[in-house]
Amino acid sequence: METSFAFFTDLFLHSLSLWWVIIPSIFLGFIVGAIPGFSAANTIIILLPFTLVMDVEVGLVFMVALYCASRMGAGIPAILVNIPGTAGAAATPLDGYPMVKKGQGQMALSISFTSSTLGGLLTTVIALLSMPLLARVGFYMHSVEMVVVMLFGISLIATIASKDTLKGLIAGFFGLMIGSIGADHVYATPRGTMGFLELYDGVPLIPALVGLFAISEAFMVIEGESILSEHSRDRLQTGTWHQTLEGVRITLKRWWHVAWTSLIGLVIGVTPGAGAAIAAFVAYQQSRAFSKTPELYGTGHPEGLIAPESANNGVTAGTLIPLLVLGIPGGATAAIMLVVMQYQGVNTGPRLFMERPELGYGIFMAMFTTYLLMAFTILPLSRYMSRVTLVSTTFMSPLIIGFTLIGSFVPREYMFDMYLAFAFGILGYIARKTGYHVAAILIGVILGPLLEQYMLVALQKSDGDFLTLFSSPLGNILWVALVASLILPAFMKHRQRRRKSVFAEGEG
Amino acid sequence: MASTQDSDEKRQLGGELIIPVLALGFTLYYIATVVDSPWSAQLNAFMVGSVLILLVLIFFAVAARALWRGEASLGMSNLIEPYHILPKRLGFIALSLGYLIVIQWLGFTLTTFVFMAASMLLLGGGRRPILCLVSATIMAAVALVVFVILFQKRFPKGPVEYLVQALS
Repeated sequence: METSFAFFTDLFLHSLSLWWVIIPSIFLGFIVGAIPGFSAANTIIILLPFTLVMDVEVGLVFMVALYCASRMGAGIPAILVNIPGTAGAAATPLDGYPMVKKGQGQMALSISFTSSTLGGLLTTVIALLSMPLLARVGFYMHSVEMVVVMLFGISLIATIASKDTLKGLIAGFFGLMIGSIGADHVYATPRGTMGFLELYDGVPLIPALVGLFAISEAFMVIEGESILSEHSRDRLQTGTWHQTLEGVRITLKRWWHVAWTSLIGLVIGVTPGAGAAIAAFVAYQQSRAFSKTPELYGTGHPEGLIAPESANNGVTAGTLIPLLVLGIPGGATAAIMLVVMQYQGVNTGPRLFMERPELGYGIFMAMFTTYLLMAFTILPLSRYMSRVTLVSTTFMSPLIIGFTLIGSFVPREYMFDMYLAFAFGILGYIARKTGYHVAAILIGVILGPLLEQYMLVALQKSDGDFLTLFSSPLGNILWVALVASLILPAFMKHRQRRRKSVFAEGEG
Repeated sequence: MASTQDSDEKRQLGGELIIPVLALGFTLYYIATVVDSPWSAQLNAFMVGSVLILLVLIFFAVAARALWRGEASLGMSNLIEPYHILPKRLGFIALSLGYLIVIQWLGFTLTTFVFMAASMLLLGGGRRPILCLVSATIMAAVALVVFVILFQKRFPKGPVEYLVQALS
């Protein structure tokens, strides 16, 4: 079948006709994304019996819509109450939450929704047009290149900790050590588990996430009657649609920023195992590195919110590419889709596009339609959702603790995970009160096992030769980019300071 | 008066030292668990652990210098402040810990209700008790319906869960 303009138009109209599946899936995904501990993958697994009896096309559209919406939904608690719904949204509160504290919650949600939608739409179109080419990215990203991508993430620790680099690095490396807990990959030797069997598989991410962000936040916010100042409360209460429209305008004005950060998400999403958390943090770091105003990051800067939200929505299209083109699932949700497709007798890989192109391309078109429909269904809600922050901390804090402890139990159903979340909460509280960034600890926990895994493969392939890390051309390009991203901000800061002093001398 | 103000403005290093001390202690423990293991199990311990130990030692040196110069103290007020909220905060932490302990006997729904109601009353200073009780009831009921009945998650069972089980 020829993939002409008419073919894509037909696909688009057909996916629009499936609105009755897409819109309920959007709302369901939006809700599960916002609940910490409930990922799209969990929900799809729970609803798998329904998906299997649906027509294969309807089932896949349902899963795609739920997946996209959950990615967007995870940003809501991250922005409003500093609790990322999933690890992919862990970079969102860095600038989203400070905006809320300034009384700009409605605008922050609007920026988040618009950049998610634009990032999702753009990367879906790119994925549709360049699927065979992008699928090759997975082939080029070997262990050496992945080590450098991981180091990109770690270099963010220094970026986040710009106020006190030493404390930031200690927090980040402490996180890496915590992330190294568990049985080793080769001989399954338990390391740092303190005798807990529940830690043999490593530190589960959800308890670490909810503990560091949510539980510590709940212990912090009780210092005030509300998480907002008096001024911010007034500003939010008297807010009109103007704030929502202003958020849309700010994001559209920075369309280029949305474009390149969502592309980071797409490329990282194509790489199996990398995931939305890494994409969001790498995009945030790159956005800050190339910004003219890096000092504004972390204070409620729109670009600091646009970057992670565009990137983690770029990942959604990226993870489906290796699944559809190569038959290799790029993440948990993609793996479940593979199961459904195999159950229904649909071949993935190159044969899918020869035998059933309407299904192969149709999945991406459904994703495009989902993002389009989300723009109309979700964006108007930002005005009302932002009012959550007006709830008194008397009610907010117990709610946060109760539901996040429940959320930490849900994925593995271990009581131990609730204790772990509480322990991370106390650690997060101490970190916050004494000037260590909880995001730096979390990045470490996420990257610790991944870095070790890729490093191990790289060293095993080269008989323990560390120079192998500089043996690949693509890896070396990434090394140069990494060094540049670390040096450039300092260089630009120095240049700005020099310009200011020359200007001051000129005026004097 | 001036001297009191000076001492108040000093950097409070006591609280700041907790994370580095925890990091150092954990890293040494981690290294001890892999010291006899094959190199593949030791990779992160020595690559990441050695950097972390170095960073912590630098932090200790910086802290010692600040203490020596009289620019810092070993106070912990930055961890505890504001003092007027301390009883509430400790009470809230104790209730959260209690939730995790009691849930095994009282079950998920009843413990969630008791925790929510007690925390709301504590944080609100006993104000609006009816609103607190109603909110706690709604939250516990929502949690029961969503997590136990709808998603069938295996939370610890108590009287409410057994009643629901008997009725269904």
